[in-house]
Amino acid sequence: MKKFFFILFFLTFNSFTYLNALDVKEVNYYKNKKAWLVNDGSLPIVAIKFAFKAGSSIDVEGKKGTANLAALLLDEGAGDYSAKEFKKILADNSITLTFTVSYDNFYIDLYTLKENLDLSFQLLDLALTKPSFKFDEINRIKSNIKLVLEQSYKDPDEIGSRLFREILFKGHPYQYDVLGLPEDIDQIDKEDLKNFLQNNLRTDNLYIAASGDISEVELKKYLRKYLTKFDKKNMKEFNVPLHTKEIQHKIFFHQKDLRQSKIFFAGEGVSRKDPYFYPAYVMNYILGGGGFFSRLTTEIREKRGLVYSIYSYLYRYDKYNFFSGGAETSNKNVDTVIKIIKKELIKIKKKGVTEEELKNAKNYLINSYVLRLDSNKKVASILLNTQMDGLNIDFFKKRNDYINSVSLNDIKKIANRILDENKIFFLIVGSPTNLKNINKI
Amino acid sequence: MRFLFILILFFFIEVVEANFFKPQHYTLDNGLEIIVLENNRIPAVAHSIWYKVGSADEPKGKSGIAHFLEHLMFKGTDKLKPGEFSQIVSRNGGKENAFTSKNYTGYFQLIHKSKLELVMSLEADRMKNIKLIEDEFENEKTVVLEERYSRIDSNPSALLSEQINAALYMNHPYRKPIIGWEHEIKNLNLDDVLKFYKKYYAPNNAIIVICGDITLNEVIKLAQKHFGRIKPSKIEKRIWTSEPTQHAARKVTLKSKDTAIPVLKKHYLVPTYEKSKKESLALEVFSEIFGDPSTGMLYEEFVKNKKLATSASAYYYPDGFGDTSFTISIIPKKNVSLEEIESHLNEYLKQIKELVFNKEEIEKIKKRLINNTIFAQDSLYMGMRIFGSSLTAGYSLKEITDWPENINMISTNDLQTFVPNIFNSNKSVTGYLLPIME
Repeated sequence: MKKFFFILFFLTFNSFTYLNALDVKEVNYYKNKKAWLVNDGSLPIVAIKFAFKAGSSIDVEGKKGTANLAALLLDEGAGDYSAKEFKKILADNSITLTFTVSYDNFYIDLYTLKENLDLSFQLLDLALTKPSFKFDEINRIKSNIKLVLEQSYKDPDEIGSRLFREILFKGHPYQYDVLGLPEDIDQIDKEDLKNFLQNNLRTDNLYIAASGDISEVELKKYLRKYLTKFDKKNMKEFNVPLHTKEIQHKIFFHQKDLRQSKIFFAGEGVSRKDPYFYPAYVMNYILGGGGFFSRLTTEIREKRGLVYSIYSYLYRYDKYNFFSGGAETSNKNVDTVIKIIKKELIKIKKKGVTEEELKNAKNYLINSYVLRLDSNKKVASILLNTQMDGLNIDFFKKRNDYINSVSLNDIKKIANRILDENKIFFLIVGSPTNLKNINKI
Repeated sequence: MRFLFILILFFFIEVVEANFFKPQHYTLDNGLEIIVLENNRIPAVAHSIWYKVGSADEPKGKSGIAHFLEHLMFKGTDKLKPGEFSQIVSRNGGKENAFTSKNYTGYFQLIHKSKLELVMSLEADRMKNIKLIEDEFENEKTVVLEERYSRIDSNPSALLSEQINAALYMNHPYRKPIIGWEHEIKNLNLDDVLKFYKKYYAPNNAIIVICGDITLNEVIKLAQKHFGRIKPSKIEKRIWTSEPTQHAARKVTLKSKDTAIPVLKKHYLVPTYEKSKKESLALEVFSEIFGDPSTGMLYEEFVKNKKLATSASAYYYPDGFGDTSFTISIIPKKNVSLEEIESHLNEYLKQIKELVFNKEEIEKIKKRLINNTIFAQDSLYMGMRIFGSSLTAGYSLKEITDWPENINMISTNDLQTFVPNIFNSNKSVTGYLLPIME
């Protein structure tokens, strides 16, 4: 019986390891540029993701919102096609082609049937090289964006994120909404948009990942034909500065007449290259990352019924890393919830986690990884993010070992570094009762 | 020009494939239905169990009970402590969740295929053996109330939808919110929930849907072993109160200080697939051509031509029993009032009633819809979700797999026949969401 179990365990373990070793190919499409590919023909579908290192953080003073506006206008007419025609060709051929911007990146997502891959690339090419930027469309999209920005002064969630950014990122481009500033948006003209594309969409800052029914040869052919034209020489480098905010303990409070208060908290984070990255990752899973039984969920939801959801997360931006979390609770509970969050942070800092917790966390983080790979879209995302994290394709073989090697002591060390109650701030939006020592904003 | 050529070429050589998932089906002696959708992409399964009970089945005065029970299903059984279900799933590398709708309550786990037996045994256990204590019950009640405050009461748009539904359905149980009315959630007691659980949680009122790297035979063996011994219950046929003839247009207005963006919603009472099959398929085709948020007629008219709105779309939800809603949503441009939008919408809908549909356009729209079924197979979760939610809300298995063919059969004539029926103002509710300036 014992032997049987051993074999079973062994087999299972092996299959998990095998799975994590995704069959990723590097496709060298141009000079030293490589795209990552998983070729899977089980469905006639292809997902390709592109990212240029050019997000809203490079928007210049007085023109905040340029990157986002450019992205939103790329499917509003290109080449000889009007906005209406362009969108209709996409829709009638079931092609999803979207352009989005984050603080750090300009993303293109392409999701199509294999039979429409040619057409998809032709449309992508038109959008990137011959966008119409018609006056009418520019004005229409501008007023849409301004309306959404107005909402950030009324909607409680939006108010929260705006204030959070202003506290955490003050003095850095990250303090602005990706959408920009309303007064700046009016100043952006067609030339600015053209310049944005001209200066920033270039192969030296481009990352590509593909998954689905497409071979190395096919991918290479398309990339050579449509992407090498973005090889541009001697372009001006944008240097977004590192953000070096030292967080001090404070409770910031914004009064708003609400049924529930919104609680945000944040502290120092960990970079991807930090030797303690994996210990931090596992620690966060135990504290506030995982499911129904993270420590925060157990103490605040399961034992006391004070919230519906509470979470914590390690955020990584190119120029700043931080640890952050949040919850919503009835106004009368705010004080209690903050106290418990603090208590739990201090507890991990002082005592670390238990052996049992560490074992369970590793089991989950290792064995659930394969579940992220069930669709072409998800595989393409993982390939893109891994690549942009500066990792190699052997990462998929090594990931289990990285997680397995985390020790109780490692977790104690990283907790001691980042879960310092003197370096965590809270932000409350709502009408809490009994809250003391607060800084009104 | 080259595009056009490619387009035409595909248009003519494409034959509609009715190749939609290829589900396999089996029913245990105790009535438990099993659906398996094989997908070998990763060595994992999306395992789910769907009970044919939702908020529409709740007794009078007990709204929220179906959803509350969903929460309590994680609170322990004779064998498991509260929360242990989730811990076991997670320790074994699985992800899980649950969902309650008007028509069903579903539970799922996404997990390595070698752990399928484990999760099936856990689901079999909690089908009959949940154990609840008063303390846990009261604690979870506050969690559910906090959930309601987060999702509905703090969200003006959700609050408006709740008011609209209560007006749109005058007699059908769909008028109640799934999460329940606050005062009724507060008054629920342990006995109510246990009665509901005993009445509806039984093998002959459930469907197991598994999408993943597993065969029907393997699943049948495991299901026999773990669910086979559970006795069926006496399940009454679902008979819900239905809508009377509606004689008057209704209007609800919600003013909120928590939004800057006004919204116009217009809901029309229309039949579900279960009530009027061909009509429902025609409405699905129509809602795509009329309501798609970036290419639809409504978008063209309000956003592009008349320049009155920043967005305009429409949506038809065919699932369920009896009647459902055809919903229009429009966000006006700054300085355009909701009254202006509404009056233009009424004029425009008169034209739509007279509209002659273009055959070539309709063919393209049908192809879009049918292509969606290929993309739906690109994840384990989607297949599981589509089959579970459709089988518990008016569709037979054959009707799901035949859906692409049935959509393809819809003609311009069908649209001509059914579309004018949608926009009957006596069967409508207009909803205004208006910002209050502080």
